[in-house]
Amino acid sequence: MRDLKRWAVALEVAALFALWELAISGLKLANPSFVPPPSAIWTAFTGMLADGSLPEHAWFSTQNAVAGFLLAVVVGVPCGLALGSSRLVSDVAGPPFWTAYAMPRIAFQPLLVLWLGFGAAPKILIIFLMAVFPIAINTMDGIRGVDPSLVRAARVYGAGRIQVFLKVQLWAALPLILTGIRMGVARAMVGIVVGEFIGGSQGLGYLIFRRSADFDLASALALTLLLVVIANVLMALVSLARRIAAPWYAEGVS
Amino acid sequence: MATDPIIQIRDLSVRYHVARTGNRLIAVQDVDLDVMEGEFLTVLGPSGCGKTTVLNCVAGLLTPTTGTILAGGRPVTAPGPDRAVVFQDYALLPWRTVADNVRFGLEMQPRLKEGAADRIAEAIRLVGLSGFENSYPRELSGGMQQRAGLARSLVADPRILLMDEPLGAVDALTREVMRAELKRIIDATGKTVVFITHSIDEAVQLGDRIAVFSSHPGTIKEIVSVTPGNRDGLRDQLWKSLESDAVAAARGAAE
Repeated sequence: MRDLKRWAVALEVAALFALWELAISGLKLANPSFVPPPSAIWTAFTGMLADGSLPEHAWFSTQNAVAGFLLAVVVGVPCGLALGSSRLVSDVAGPPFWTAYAMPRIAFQPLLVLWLGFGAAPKILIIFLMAVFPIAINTMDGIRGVDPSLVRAARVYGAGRIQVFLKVQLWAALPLILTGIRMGVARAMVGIVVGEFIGGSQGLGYLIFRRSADFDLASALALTLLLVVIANVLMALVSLARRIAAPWYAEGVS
Repeated sequence: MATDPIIQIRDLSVRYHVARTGNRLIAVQDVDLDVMEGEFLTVLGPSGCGKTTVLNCVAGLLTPTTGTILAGGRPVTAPGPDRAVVFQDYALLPWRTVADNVRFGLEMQPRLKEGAADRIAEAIRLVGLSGFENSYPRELSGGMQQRAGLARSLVADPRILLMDEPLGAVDALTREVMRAELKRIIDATGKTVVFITHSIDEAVQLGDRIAVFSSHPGTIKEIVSVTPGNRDGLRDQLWKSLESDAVAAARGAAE
């Protein structure tokens, strides 16, 4: 059954690309310069691979993404744990936290460039800002959603506050923490592109921006799809980590 | 001393402040109850009569508004290793296997570190779960999950078992089997048991004595002793005693 579902997904994607190709190359429904068909995108992609610049840009973006994402995990998980488990922290730090979440963080990108320059720093920071909130919020919900009955049972068998946290709340929240981390991966991809639009001359986001400005839409779309592929691979890795770290949860969803 | 009750409840009242309405809700009022060592006391009453509240006070999970509770002669202020609880919803940790869930019953007690493995194996054997040590709770039926919950409560050898409708969430057929099983296991261990139920059959079949609760406010209506000769008569008597409360609860007249 699982194999069957995988084939269905592959078939979906293949059908989508086939329709797209047919609509542009076959039926000429749109100008291929503006809506390039998959064949043109593939040609553009292999062309970029051949001229050798792509790996360098991809490496620059990936490094920033990993740095910003790890920072988001290191900051987001403890923040979520604190917000979720302490009424005091939630009352005092909650309002600024939600205000920051409500802010259009993308709007800060030009400011970050002014403050931090054209290097990697503003890019890492915007990736961090994109990824940290889903991680912190899911962690918080995970802690708050712990079945009170489990906490009562732990108290009956002698657990104090710290043991309740370590032996019950943290474990119960683990699946949602990993869900947050998976969402954080997707947001980090957005951060890559946004962070490289202004100020700098490196990275996949920068390349997308440049090729679009040159009306080389086939290349721009090829790069976008490359980011999608990278995001999916990373999210699959996090899912795998969840299956290993929280098998009782992953198998429960059938 | 030997004749002193193992649990003594005096003038127990619990009131809640309901923030939404600003009213005070009286959950339990003026409960006096003694439980003797080795006794199986069933607590019978309609939903919402405060019987679980009393149990939670004895467990040390809830602080009474007024009144005192002594367990083994000492005032109850918090949970303690002399009292274990079996929950209606089992409250097993889903990320732990049966053996590790049972281990949870003694791992917060350093004095039981030595010989823990033997204790765990013995508790699992006693409840009839041998062979399922490495199963996760969700792989087990409701009845088997409650067996695991029972093993967890027995593993540290408490003097008192507090059971909050332990068979309330299992299917009817399993419940019949589990009642007999429970009786066998409890008899084998000689524990003092306070067993909450809203089933008259269960109360009569399992209890040495039955404390009948009525609601609004939750208080003890009567305490009856079960003897082999009076079981059938008791069922009718208890039903008469509970009928008006049960009908009221079913109609939601309580609110």
